[in-house]
Amino acid sequence: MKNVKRTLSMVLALILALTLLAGCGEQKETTPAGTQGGNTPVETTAEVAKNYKKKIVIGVANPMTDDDPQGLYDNMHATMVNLSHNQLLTYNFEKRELEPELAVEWKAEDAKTYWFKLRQGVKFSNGEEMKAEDVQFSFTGREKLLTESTQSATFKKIESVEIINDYEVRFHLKTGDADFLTRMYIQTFAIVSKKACEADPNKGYYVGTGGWKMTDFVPSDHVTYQRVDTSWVWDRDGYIKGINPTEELELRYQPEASTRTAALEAKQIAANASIDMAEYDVVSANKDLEITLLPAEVLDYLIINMNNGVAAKDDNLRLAIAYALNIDEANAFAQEGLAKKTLTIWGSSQYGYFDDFENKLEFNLDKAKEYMSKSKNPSGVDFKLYVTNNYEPMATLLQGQLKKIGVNVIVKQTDKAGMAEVVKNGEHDGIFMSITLQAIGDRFHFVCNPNSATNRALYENPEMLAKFDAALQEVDDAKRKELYKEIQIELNEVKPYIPFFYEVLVVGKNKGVEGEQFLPDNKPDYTYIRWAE
Amino acid sequence: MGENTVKKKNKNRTQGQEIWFRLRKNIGAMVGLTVVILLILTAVFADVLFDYDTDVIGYEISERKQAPSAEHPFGTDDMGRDLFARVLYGTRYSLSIGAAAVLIGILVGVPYGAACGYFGGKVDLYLMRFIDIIRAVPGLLMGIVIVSALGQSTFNLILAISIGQIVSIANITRASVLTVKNQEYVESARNIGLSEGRIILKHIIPNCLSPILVQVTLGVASAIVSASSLSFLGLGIPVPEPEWGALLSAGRGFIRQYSYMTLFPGLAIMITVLSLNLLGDGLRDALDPKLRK
Amino acid sequence: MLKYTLKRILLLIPTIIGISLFIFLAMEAASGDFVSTLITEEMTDEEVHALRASYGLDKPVLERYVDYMWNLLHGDLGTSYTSRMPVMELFMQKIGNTTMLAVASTIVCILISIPLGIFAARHRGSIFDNISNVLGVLGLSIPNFWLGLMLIVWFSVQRSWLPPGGNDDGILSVILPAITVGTGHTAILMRTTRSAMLDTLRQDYLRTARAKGVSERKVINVHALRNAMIPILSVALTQFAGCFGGAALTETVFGWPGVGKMVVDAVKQRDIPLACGTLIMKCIIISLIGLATDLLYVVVDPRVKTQFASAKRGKRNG
Repeated sequence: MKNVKRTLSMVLALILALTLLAGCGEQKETTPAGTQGGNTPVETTAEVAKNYKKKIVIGVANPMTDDDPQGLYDNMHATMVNLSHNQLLTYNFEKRELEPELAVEWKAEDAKTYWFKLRQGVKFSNGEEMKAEDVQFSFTGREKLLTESTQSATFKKIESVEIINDYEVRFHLKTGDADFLTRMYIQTFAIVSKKACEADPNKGYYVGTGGWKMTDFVPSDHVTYQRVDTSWVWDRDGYIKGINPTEELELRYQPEASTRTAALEAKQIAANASIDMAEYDVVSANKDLEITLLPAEVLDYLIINMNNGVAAKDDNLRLAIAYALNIDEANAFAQEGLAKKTLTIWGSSQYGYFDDFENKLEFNLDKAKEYMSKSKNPSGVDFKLYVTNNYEPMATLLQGQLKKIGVNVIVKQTDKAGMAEVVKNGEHDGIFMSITLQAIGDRFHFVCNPNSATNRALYENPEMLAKFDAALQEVDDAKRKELYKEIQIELNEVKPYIPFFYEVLVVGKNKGVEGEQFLPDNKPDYTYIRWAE
Repeated sequence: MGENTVKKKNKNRTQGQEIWFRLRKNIGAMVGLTVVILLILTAVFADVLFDYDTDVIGYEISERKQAPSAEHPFGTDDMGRDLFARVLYGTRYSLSIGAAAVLIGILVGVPYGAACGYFGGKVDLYLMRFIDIIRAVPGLLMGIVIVSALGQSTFNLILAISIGQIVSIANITRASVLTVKNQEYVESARNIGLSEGRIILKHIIPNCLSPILVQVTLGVASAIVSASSLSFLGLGIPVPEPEWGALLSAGRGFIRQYSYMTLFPGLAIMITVLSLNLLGDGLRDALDPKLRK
Repeated sequence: MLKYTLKRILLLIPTIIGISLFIFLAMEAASGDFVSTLITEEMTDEEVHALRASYGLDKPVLERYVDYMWNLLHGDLGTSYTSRMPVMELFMQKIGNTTMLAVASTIVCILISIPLGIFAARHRGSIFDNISNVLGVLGLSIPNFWLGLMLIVWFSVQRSWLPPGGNDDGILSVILPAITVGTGHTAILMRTTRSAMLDTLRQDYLRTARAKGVSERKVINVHALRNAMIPILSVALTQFAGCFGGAALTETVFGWPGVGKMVVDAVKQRDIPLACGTLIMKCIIISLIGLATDLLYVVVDPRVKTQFASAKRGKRNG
């Protein structure tokens, strides 16, 4: 027994040592969530001094893979850029208008020329003041942006950025872009420091004007930020004034939705902007959490293959499908009935939104069967519906709904990479997916563009395409909106897309957390977040 | 020596009866066998017990997320479908996928392993390299790679799972063949002048049957687990088929308040795998000439 | 012995060539490539082509494979498409976590399997034997992602005893994932313990010890166990090596930043260098552990030294 005990204890000791070493290697100076972070009184005018946590962790659903603010554009990376950088303009989703950020005045001189007056006294995290040369550098000085950025199309459009003086610039575009001003709120158009990027071509872009600076980046794991006390954001009109008492922020990748919610409930993370709708019942019953339902700028819609799909040349089949879809039921199923239905694919905040159609689509099973009997395959047809993983439940529901009119839906699941290939080869009859909406009017230019890689309906309509092109050059507000209205009316008649609803985001935070901005485009801004204990 | 003693004792029993006798004494194996038979019966008669269109895939949104009750013993899922029907019907998919994967494993793995073991030398060296390469890839990853490469379908799922089965069965066959090939009766067969092929077929493989048989039950069990893991990742059978792994995946978002959605499919997997393993263990003990009471 | 070690290391080479070729070909056969995940609405076909060229993905698969292998010879595992960081750096960032989980899982496995196996061996043939077997196999049968999620609900949400995932609480964070992974391996180790104990329990020298008057408890726990330890430890080490291969599902559920999930995600993203490089590193680690196990076996058990010519490869038949 002694021998066994000795061996076991030696082994255990060795293992413990190994574990501690391995654990030490990864350790950062953190205090686990749920414990006191230390006292940092807040200099506010009339409030009682509270204790705030020094470090806050936020759980995110998607992995961080790119540390370049001007590189990859998606919800996760936009959330990151919101912390460390600013753009020329910002978009107010409530008022549906652009607001000043690093630019205080701006003007569209014509479709190709845009003038901005910059804010003075804005410091980068390296102490340098932001000036016109930084704006010029951000848009024209980094070659890789022409190929490696998600917004490369816009970067390529810029002919030059003219420096008028230290605080005024003028953009000259190669082709007209009536959306150019609106695009400026997109996080990828962050302003980086010319001096920092020239001094360090590899990581110089870390330097930004935001309230936080990135200090640690581990792909698909976490990214940490340190507060920048000299940032202008702590003294910005319309936002919380005073330096944020939080000193360190971490965005942590927690892929499993249930685990993320559990982390929120266990106070490991302060906020969770991607709570699964399935857990809405659970979290809203929890008294320690503040849960909000946020109407999102995300559209769920059904795309019909208009080129070689089974419903392509068969208008009656398409109409049959459209009438057979019970969107209220889908809403009840996927969004607890909370989502806002829409008749157009335009976003509700999007420039040119129009939905007052004469023919409003409604669920009508009889009409559906009627159209089905007039279609090319009245006795029934196979319909290959492609979805990515998270829309499989919805696909199953649609399968059940369309069965009632004799359409046999074959659900095919694929991942993101596979989906692009499917579209390219035209293997699908339909795709159900979501699309993130933006405020720019030109958002759906691709829907009828045969050269676009994301024209998933494979829909060709040269007249519609010409309208999109014209609208992009049109500076007259009324004329532009009229063009978009015509496009939407036509789309409603032809139905290459059947819009369902705007998704509802379930966002949550722990009690005592404030200053977070959960935005409808699912790119939250955590700059001002703090957690009082 | 011990063998002869026992053979004298039980002279009146055939080898088959002897094995059955030993198996019967193992309570675990008997329970396992009973459950497996019940599962097979459920799978075969599922169509009789349930109507596919109304019970298995018929949905009713107003009845969704109901806890277990008399009307719905396992509750209803997110679309209002009866989970009792779906779990029981799912037996078909799990068992047939497992059986198919193992069958492929036998058809490919036995000749492969036998060739390695019997011919040895260079043949063994090169053929086993392939096995090594496949084993260097973790099972789940192999499945993901194959389904990603070939597309999601039931056939590709079976293919992905069968690779692991081929490797296990090939290994076991090879080991048994190595043990058996130097026995006396094989020497005699060779001396008589039988061809290599006939020796393998008539003498060697029949004597390797016991470990392979054991591996069959364990293989089906592991195949079911693999299938459910791949379904969990969305790479399994296309919807709306109620394969257990797919049911688990569908219920995973509801694990907090509606944990019964994952409990019953999880239990189904567990009971099936457990029974198959107990049966396999029992068979191994019953077929093992070394173990004596 | 040196020759044996060298031979084993050399055998790694065809394995590495094999798995990298497999990954390249499989990713080629898969629909879409990495650039397909990057395509956005504004991009035209020409831009997509240009982007593809910037990643070198416009070249044929064999050319890319040869390039990759050439770099590999120089110790360069390539650069990940997704994060544009060197694969080796990404691997080193996460391997510590996987190691920690592997160690902890093996400990859990040992703590459950060995006592259970000894118990089963002692009461062989009785109902307790069956129960122990059932308990061991139970671990194998429970779908581990389900177990993981349930553990989080029970221990992190309903009671705040343990953190729900992540790895910043050191040992506390690793407990639940380790239980999830470790219980899955108990069956094999338990059975190995049981049969190893049974083998040794029958030996003559034990009869001698019993005749000498040594207590039954001591007979089992000292003499029998000590000799049974060799196969038991070797299987435990094999399990340990195996932990480096899998656990992707557990890592997902617990948000444990390890290499298992990294490879799975790389395959989903068609990030060929990352998938290939990580797989190669894992393969090397697993092989080295396996080699160490076999060498340990030789060193510890003199009987094995004589059987060296027919070196046992691969798993023991548990």
